[in-house]
Amino acid sequence: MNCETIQGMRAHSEILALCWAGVALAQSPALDHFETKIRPVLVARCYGCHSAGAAAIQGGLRLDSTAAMQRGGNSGPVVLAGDADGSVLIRSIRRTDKSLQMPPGPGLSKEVVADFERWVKDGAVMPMDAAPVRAKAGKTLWSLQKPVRQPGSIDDFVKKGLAEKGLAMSSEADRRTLIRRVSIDVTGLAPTAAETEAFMADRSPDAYGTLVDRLLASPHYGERWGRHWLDVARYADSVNDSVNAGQRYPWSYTYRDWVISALNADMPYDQFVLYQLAADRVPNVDKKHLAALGFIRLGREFPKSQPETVDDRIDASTRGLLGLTVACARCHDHKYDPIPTKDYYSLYSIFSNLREPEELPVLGKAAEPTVYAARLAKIRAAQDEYRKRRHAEMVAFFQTQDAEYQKATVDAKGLSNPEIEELVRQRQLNLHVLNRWRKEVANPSAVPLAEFEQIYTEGDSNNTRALRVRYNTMLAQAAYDGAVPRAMAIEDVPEPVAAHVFVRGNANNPGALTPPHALTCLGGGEDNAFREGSGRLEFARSVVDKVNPLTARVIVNRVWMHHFGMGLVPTPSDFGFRGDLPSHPELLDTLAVELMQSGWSLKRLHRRILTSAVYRQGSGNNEAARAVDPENRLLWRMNRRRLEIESLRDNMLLAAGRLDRGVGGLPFSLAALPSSPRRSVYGFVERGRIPAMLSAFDFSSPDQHAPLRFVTTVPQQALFFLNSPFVMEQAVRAGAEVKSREADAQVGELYRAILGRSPAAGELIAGVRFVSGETEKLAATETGAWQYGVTERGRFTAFPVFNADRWQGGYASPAGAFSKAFLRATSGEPGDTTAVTRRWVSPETVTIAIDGSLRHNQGAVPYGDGVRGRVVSSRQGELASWVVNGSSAETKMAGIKVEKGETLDFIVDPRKDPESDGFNWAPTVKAASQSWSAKDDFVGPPAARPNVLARLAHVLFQTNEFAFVE
Amino acid sequence: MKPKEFLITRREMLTRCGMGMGALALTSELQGAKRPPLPFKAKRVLHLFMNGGVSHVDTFDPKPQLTKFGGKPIPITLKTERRTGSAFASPFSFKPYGKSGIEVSEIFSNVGECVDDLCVIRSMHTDIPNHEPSLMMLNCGDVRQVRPSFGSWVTYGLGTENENLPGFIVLCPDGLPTQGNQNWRSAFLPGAFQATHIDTREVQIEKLIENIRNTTTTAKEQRRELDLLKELNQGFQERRQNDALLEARVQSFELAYRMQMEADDAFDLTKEPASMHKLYGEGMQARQMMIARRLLERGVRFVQVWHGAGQPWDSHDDIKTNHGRLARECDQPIAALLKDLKQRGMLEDTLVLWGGEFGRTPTVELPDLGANSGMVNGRDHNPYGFSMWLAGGGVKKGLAYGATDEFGFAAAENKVHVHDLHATMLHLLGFDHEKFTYKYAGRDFRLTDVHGRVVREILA
Repeated sequence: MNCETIQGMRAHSEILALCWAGVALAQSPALDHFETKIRPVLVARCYGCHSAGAAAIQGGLRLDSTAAMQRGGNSGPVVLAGDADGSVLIRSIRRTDKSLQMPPGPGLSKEVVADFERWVKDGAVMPMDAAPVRAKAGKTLWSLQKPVRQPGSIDDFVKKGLAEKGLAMSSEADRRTLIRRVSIDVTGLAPTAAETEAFMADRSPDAYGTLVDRLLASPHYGERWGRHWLDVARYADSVNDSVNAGQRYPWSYTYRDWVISALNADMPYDQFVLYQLAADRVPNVDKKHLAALGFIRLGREFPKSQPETVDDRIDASTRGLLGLTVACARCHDHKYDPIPTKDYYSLYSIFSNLREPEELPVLGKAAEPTVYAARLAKIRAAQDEYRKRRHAEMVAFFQTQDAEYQKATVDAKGLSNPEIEELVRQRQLNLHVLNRWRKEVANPSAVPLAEFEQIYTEGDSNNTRALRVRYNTMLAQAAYDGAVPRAMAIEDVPEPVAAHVFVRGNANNPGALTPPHALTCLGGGEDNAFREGSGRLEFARSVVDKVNPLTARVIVNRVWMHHFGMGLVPTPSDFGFRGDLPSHPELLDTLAVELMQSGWSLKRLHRRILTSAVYRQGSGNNEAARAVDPENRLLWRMNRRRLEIESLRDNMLLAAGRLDRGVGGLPFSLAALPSSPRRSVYGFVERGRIPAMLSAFDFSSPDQHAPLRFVTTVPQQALFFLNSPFVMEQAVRAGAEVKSREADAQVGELYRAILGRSPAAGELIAGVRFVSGETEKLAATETGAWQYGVTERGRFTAFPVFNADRWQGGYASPAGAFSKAFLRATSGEPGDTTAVTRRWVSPETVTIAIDGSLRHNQGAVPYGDGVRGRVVSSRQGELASWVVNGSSAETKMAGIKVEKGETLDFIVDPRKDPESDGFNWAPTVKAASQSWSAKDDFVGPPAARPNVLARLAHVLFQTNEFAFVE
Repeated sequence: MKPKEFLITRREMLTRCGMGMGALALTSELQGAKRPPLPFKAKRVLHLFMNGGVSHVDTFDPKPQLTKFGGKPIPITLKTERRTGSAFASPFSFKPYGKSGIEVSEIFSNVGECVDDLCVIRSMHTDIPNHEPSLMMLNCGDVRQVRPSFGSWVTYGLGTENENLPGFIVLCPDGLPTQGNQNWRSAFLPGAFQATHIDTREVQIEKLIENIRNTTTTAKEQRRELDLLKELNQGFQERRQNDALLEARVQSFELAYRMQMEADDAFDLTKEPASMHKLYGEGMQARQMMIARRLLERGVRFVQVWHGAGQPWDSHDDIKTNHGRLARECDQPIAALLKDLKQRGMLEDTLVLWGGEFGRTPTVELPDLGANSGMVNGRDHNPYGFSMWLAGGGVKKGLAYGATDEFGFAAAENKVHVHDLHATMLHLLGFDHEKFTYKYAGRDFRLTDVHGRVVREILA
């Protein structure tokens, strides 16, 4: 049965009763035929007029139950079981009789008609009458039952489950395994060799409990678990859609940092959720919590289609917080779970009535780079100027057409809306203006400025969007240059408007009005609709209300999943009929109730789990147990798990002795070299363009809410370990940390740094053999004749960072003195005050020519004053200069004599106005026998030159021991 | 390596990973080729994407009525993105080719020579006259929502025949097409089924595939590292009852090691003989068609070749010059690719699809106040009717199927929606499009959502 099957159905009992989860639906072929061939057509083509859910039942005929069909309509029965030719229904869909042609619109295909004929001949079997009604279905869903606390510990519940199958838990893991497991689970970082040894030596009875407490108190706990939450929240640092691809959110990181610090502070989970949905509506809230609203704000945006933006918000909130797939009810009532379409649109009423505040709330204090305020104001002014100018032009144009509009107003009388649209099209008029004429507005051609967007042309739409993007880009630049942090907040619109059901998900097909209210299955409904603003705070309260049976279970399950590799419910964002059932329902319920009773403390929940014997058991195999429970759902052992990419990367930095333990701050580029030593959770996440390092390792796509990460093993991951500059860079650093002179001691040092232990005898022998072996080095890569940097007051400074395809000033451009300056193979941009420079160093004394062209692009709305390009010799001074502004210049010269070591700088400066200064320029320097092309020769920093110790470190990073936690 | 050596069964995977159903589609399904559930005709797909919207009435759908009405209003007006005016006769001439006598425009004369191998569908239609939604429809089967691309579905369903190369490769010179990576995303399918985009302008292998090149040590040294790695991993594994999860990772390193050579070889066109270079001709399109063949030959499951970054075929202006130039770039290389595949016996089980995300209006696009002023002799987007052709992989040869109305505005006869095209192509690959599903967020998702009909009339 497909999704459309129930399309168009309203909350109506008989049919919805089929939203079963395996309710006994006979497996008869006749029923199958009905379900696959007949019902979808009835729903799509007939029920609009002929079902209990129809707005007005036509001809008194309902086709939604056997009884109703047998009863027939005003003119008698329409189906005679077994007699296709005698059935009115069949005759009407065959369309042989002119007076009887159904359904309206295009006729049914021959195949479909044949399906119906077969169905009637076979007795017109329909399953509805016996099926349970929807309300009952809701009552039977396990996750909607109130969770009840049962006496017993985690271990008791798990032992009980195992005993029923004649199984038992594995014995406790050894201490080394245990400290590594719990450290990585809680903080994402492996213990150092010293920490491991101290723990192994600590014989006090509460050594393990003390360790757990220390880890939970570490600020790295928030980083690790914050990242888990960011998957739920589909967090990214950029917007991504086709219109503004790559556009950064200026202050996305304030949400990420809020999540980390809230978790570190053990903010009660109900409050954690409440703030993320409605911090702005919470009375007397500390302003810093407004950052939490990034949960709603930072999803994918669809500027051309608000329903998609709203859908994303509904989906993240419901799957993420409630474990219900409410978005399934967008086009029709949920097929399986008790979620009517009206519920979806009641949430739509909440999430569609939001907007970005005029000014984003300030979160802290920082020296604001004031230069941006003026620039932003300038763009705003340009936007206003553009609107006013084009508005005046359009109005002047409409005023020349008064006679035509007068005529059209007369002609439009009595026409339907589509006909009026067609008329407007034919006569090349503007619909909005015509409507003003039809409504007899005074001076109809003089459309007010506020309505400009209703009269503007496609070109205007593009141009205003370009200006908006420019504004947002500038704002992001300011933020990345250290502007005072702000919350990516949202607020309710002043006058929220309740949504209508979009029939079949089509926004142009409005159905019943749906005021905001809690989900029906959680006791909500139109009768107790929300009243404050968009209803967001009330919704948030309904989510965290202790009577809500879902919220606590869902978060307990997520926490469990990250500790064990699989949730008690293996489908963490689907607690509906189609999701999996909990393996230990009593345990889940007990933990959920205790979470609520403990004041929603997640740290207490962690501690309870981490100190259980279930968590502490070994991960070794047990063939007998495996035969009974291959998925290990009963938890007869701990699961062995591969580290996520964030932990792999962070632990390499740690082992190389360079991990930056600083918490929070602006995102950095994960692709940059030399690599940033900051933790991966702070890496810039560009929606739609996830760095290969992350995507190859199953990083969750931030396009939508991600319930869990896949675990794949693909060769791209191995290529990353074999060849990526990042891994080699850490290996070189780890190798350089080695102090010993003797091979065996060197091997020992590396083992301790990377694997946190000393090598076993065999490993030591293999390691020593490896480091004593011959090494063949590749010839050092050519650094080439080119250098990349900026020039300020005549002084050249090389760029410190290579980021994927460009040289730039820092890990997240703009950066300090370099500001937004960067250079790519064929393009670049100068900084605010600094010129960007591609330097060519002459390897010999020779006569050269220069080729290339310098280009600067201007959009339809010109901006800035272009750039100036110059060629400056270290010996001969300036050789040439060109100014381009929305234009290009051929940069050709010949017969230049240069000496060995002389430099030629290809400098591009911003001129007076540092905005909109992107340019293309890839010069080629040509001598008689050789040429140097800026494009072809463009390279990043030379690869690290590993010595044999670095190469042993490289191997140790690649081992399964490093990559897995057990 | 023989795939069997480390093929992991589903059950094994479940056991070892301790993952639930949500993570079922994992390692086992990423490795090795898989048989589709039903009989199949095609084993791999080649999609030649004339992105921007190639005009059907100027290429594969001749319309004498349009010539007759040239410059005069026609009785059909359908809403497109922009305003259009009178009938705009094609500036190109058509003539019949081959035994089938199917008429093809002069700008595709080389492809015309192959027409007896083609199945031209002249009654395609889609939903929306804008690039973005139409690209999404053709690639992912939905105009807006985040859905996996066709290529992701196919590689998910069939796995890869060459584990040393990605299973789904997108070739596009000079950057990304409109909508970028969204066109080949895996959405809720595992990330491994997303395409690897390759800028065919690049010639350096390390810029083609991330981390493919070892730049710090010699191959011999790298081998020495891998041998030590194997030894260390082996000891670790033995102490852990040879867990298949650990073994899979060990094997992935060996695979990656070999992939370094294979990838180099696949993209090295200097290994093609002069006769091949002559057949394909010069230029970017020739280059990428040749690369496409080398990839298909090596078992890449799905190759999508885009004409260029952005939307090159979007000729709102001066169709004669622009379509003329674009066709000149790709006509010979496409014909060469068809001949080449045929001669190697690969056309039989390679399903080739050619076309754009929609067609263009038979009426001329009008300049408008504030937008496309100065545009003349061009055509607007047209989702109501357009042409695509299929070749190889079990489709009828030398067939022109379906028709647009007399002016070429809308599909009129034997209409084929993009969903139907997807259903038909999946059928040829051995899948029932209604049963080929992936469970996600509480629903079984399909490429064709709730639509699609297998166009049996075009099956050989």
